[in-house]
Parts: sequence; C-alpha cells; structure tokens
Amino acid sequence: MGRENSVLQVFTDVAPTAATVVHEGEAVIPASPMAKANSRLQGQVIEGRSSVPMTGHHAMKTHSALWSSAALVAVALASTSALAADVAFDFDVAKPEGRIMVALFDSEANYGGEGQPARYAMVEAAAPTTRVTFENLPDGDYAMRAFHDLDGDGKMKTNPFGMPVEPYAFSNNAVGNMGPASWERAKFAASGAVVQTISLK
Amino acid sequence: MTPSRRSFLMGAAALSAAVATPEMVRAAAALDAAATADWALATRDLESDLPRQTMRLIDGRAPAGLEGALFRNGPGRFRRPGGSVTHWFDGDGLMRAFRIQDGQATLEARFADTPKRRVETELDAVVTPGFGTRGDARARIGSNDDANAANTAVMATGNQVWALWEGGSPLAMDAADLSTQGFVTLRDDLKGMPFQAHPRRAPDGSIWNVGTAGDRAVIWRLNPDASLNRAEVIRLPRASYMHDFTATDRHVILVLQPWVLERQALPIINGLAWRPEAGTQVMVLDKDDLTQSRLYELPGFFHFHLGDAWAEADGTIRFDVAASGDPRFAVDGARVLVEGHGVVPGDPARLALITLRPDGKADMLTTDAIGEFPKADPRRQGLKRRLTVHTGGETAGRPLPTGLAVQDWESGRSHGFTFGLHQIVEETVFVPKPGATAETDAWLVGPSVNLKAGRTELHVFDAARVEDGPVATWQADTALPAGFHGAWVG
Repeated sequence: MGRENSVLQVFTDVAPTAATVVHEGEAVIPASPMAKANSRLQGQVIEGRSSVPMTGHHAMKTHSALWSSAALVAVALASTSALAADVAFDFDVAKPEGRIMVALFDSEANYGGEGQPARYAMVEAAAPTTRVTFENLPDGDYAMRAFHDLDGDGKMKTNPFGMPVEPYAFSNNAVGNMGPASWERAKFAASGAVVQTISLK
Repeated sequence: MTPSRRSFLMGAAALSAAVATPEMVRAAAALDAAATADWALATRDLESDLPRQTMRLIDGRAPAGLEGALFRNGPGRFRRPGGSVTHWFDGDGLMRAFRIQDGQATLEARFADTPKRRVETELDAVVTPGFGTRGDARARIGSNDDANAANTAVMATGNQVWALWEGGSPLAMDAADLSTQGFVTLRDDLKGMPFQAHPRRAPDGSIWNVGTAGDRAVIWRLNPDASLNRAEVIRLPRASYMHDFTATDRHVILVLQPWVLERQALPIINGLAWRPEAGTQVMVLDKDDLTQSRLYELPGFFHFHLGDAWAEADGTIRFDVAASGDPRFAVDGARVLVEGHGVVPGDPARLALITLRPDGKADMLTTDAIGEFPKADPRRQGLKRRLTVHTGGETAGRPLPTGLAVQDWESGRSHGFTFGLHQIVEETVFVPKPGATAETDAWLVGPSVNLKAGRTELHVFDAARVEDGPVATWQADTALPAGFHGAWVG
C-alpha cells in the first residue's frame, strides 16, 4: 500500500517541456508581427512551432531566448507541408489562476522521449474561454500534454516526495500507468476539425 | 476439510486400496483446496452499499449513556469477473457506521468512491496494483491517489470521517451519510503526500501522523480541527516498511523493522526483503524539534500495530506492540484470506511491551497473550496507562481472532473472552463512560462476524469485566466482511 509514491516520481516528466514556455502579455513579450500572427482567439493564447533544441525535460530557457528562436524557426517552417487539421482543446480548470501550458507532439518518439513538441501554446486560466487551437496541422497522429501552472513559475511543482502538485492532463484525458500516459493512450488522429475537452487534474 | 469430504475419502479408501489411485487422491486434494473455509465469510464481497438498517438486540441490555457512532473501515470488495485482488489489504474501502442512540443500534456501509474503484467498476476487473496485488496493464494511475483504496482506517473530524490508506491522501466522507467528498489536500504544495492509517492525538489535542517514501518520512502535525500545523520531511536510517507509529505527549516514535524496501516493485511486497539479522531499530524524535532524535536497538521482529506510548518521569518510554517472528502473514496469510481457504503460515502475533531506557538500552517483554489490533483509553493518549484491549483467540493455521482480551501492564494479568470458532472478532475500541475518569470506566465496543448466523454483530463489553462477555449484543440481518480499524465518535 505504501510506496507507489516513489515509483511515481517519474511524473515530473508529465510537464510539457519547460523550454516551450512562452509568456503572454505585453509586459513580457514585445508586440511583434510574429506575436500577432501566432496569437489566436481572445488574445489569450500564444502558440508557436517549437524549434528550441531540448537539453532535457527540465530544461528552462529564458523567455526572450525562447521567443526569438521560436520566431526564427516559425518563419523557416512556414508552409512546408500539407496543412489539413485543426485541433482544439477546451480545458476544464478548477482554479482561474495561472496559466495552462500545452504541448502537442506528432510522434511517439518525441512525445515519450527527449524530443520536441510540434506545437506549443499557453492560455491564461482566467480567460473567458480556455481553448487552445492548433491550426493547419498535417493529418496524422498527435498526442498532447498539458499542465496548469498555478503559480505561473513555468515549472511543474512537485511535493517533497517528487510527485506533481499542479494539475496536468493528456489528450483523450488519458491516464498513465505509474507514469505519464503512454502515446498509445494519448494519441488521436487529426483530420479536419478535432475538439477535445480536457480535465486538468 | 469438511466432514463429508473426509468421509468420502475414508470411505473410498476403506472400499479398496486398489481403487484409490494416485489420480483419485490428487483429485480429492484439488477438491479440498478449492473448498471454502468456514471463516471465508470474513472476506466476502459486498456487491453494493448497505443502506441503514436497525440492528436487533439479541443479548443483554443497551448500556445507559452509551451514545455515538463507531465508524469502521476495511476492504469490502475483492473479486471482479475480469480479475481480482489477491491480498486482503487491496480490496475497496468500505466505510461502516454503527450508530447507537436511545438504546437502539443501526448499521450502514458505503464504499469509498475512489478513482481505483471507478476504473475497476468500469472494466469489471481489478487492474490496479497494490500492496500485494500485481494489477495489470489496464491500470490507470496518474498519481498515487489513483491507486488509493481508502480501505484501512478512519479519522473523524468535524462532520467528516476520513478514510485512510497508507500511501496517499485521506479521503473525506460525510459522517452523516458516508458519501464521498474527495481527497484531502492539507496544503497545496503537499498534495498527494502519504498520510498513513494511524494518526494519534496528543493530550493537547494536536494530531500527529507519518507518511513514508523509502527512507524518507513526512511527519504531520495537525491542529485539533485537523487543519495543518506543520509538515516536515526527515531521513530514516533505513527504508523499513511502516504501517503504524506511536507517540508520547513529547515524542514521535518510529519502529523500523527489518522488513526493508530494497527495490521499487509492484506489488509493494515484492520489493521488501526480510533481514531479521539487522534487528529492529526504534527512532525517537522530539516533537518540538524533529532534528533531535535517538536510536535504540532491539532484536528483529515483525509488526503492523503499536499501542499508544508514554514517557515516565525519569525519561523511560514504554509502548506495546503486536509482534510476530516474520512477515509471512503479510505476504502469504493475507493472500490465503482472500482465497477463502488454505492454511495461514507462521504464528499469530503476541502482545509485547517495549521499554526504552534513559541509558539508551531497550528491551522487549513478550507476553503469552495472542493479540492484534491494540487499542487504549483515548483519555490517556500519550500518557501513562496500564490497559490495552486487543483481539485474541487466533490459532496457528487458522486466520483471524475469535475473542478479545484486556492486558494490564501493571499487574501483568490478562482477562479475556473467547466467543469460539463461530465468531470472527474485529478491532474493539475504548469508549469512556460519561463523567468517569478511571481507566476501567469504559465500554469496549466492536463488531464480529457471526459465521454460524451469517450476520454481523456489534458487542459492548465493560472494560472492568471483559471476561464476563458482552453486556449487549446487536445483530444485523446480513454479514459484512471483517474490517480493519475504527474510530468512535461520542
């Protein structure tokens, strides 16, 4: 009965890689054509194509560094593939505080390993609609990881025994088995419009 | 073996030795192994919640002044068509309420509505790994509370009863109707930290508890209203399996048995190794400064449960324990219990008194009293006392107690009452008589499973004369599986 908790320490991995974190708001991100192009809906969402080399799941970059590399590569990646699917996630949050960090992956290797997300986004938890939409995705299989950064520090907080204390979720509302939800459980086929309602727990 | 089966075998043998082929013997043995033991009712499955029913007074008289509720927890569902629990400790938590008012007793029971139970109800299979159950690939465990069976004990606070487990959060249930309210997070940054099944109240009303992860332990200090006062993480000298701890008014006492987590494995028991040669260590922490600790050494023994501790004027600390020679019950006995037949290995636990002396020496006095589930006077928690009530009457080979006894540590005497093999006796709690202060001014209240009647009973004993048998017994119209631990709310 007792010691699942230490087994579960792998859970610090559930956070979308911190390197994809982008701050929203003019105080942090200078207004730019890129920001406008990548912002959607109520101006609450910032999304982008990830291109930042990962140094590990816990890698933390400065926001400005993130923003500039993301912007550079976003330009480079523009209109390179057949674009077909629009994937949206509506997040149920318990507390309208902090931000929801979202990372979308397009392969098992990237989702489960050290790879980078295909797209990332964040939305204020207090926004009228906590929806994140990834538009013009190539058709295919995807999986999403999200966590609710309640205190806005960009990191998945853990308790003293290493278990997450901030809510998190995976696409399909999949739950793992002593670890993050597997690709097998979290993957979904994107084609046309896909909408999932996700409970952050 | 049942008489009919025995006579069948003997009859066959008597007919002709030549007829009794090895195949026949093997077939008969298989038949016997599949048979259900007389005690199997104690681990029956309850299919659904039990609505409140009036219990029938079948013996004695309801004691005047005995008013309140005994909340009890324990596993209530083990088996599902697609896969079953294989260990007594892994069944779904079932909260029972025995309520006594105006001389009447009622019984109701409701399952703890856990994520584990929801998943397993949906799949119609037990899939979640646990203490002794392997689980399978269909398990959905995003955090330790997804495996939380909420099946071990009860802490009552305000209008809630908390269903406690060992490796996760308390699960709050409504004391009025036993509906589940949700997991308790004592502070946001401590979400999911283990809060074990045996919190202890101090004379000042504070509530102390522990939770472990390998060789680390969180020491919880709660205010009398069960809000968090403080939580500190300490390092243990070894990663002992710990189900219980004890406390004096000034000390937290961790008994580190030589059943040690040597690797992460599922089920949990697969990662534990029995190292009796390493002895048992007793770690005593100063409640006011947890960095101050002292370590005592004892010969190795196995235990689940400790009694309340007390410190004497010269610094001597004493507490009791239900001790046995090895963890065979925890590994194999608890599996036999769910199988509903077979022999429980090892000897039943005996009551022992541990003394920690100011000079750093420790000793252990083991009595002849077979005993488990030690409980003491709640008016004396953490303070000097002489009495312990405990279950008794268990015999080698056959699991579960058939009676209870009161141990007097001052006189060394034990007074007991045994119902006989037709009753499985559960933990019995001290209920102080209103307005009285002596340790013997108490009722002992606890249930049993009457195997002959197929019904759950609730008994009240007088702590001063337990050997006289119950002063009152009520009977339900059905049998609930035997539970683990309870709490009285007066």
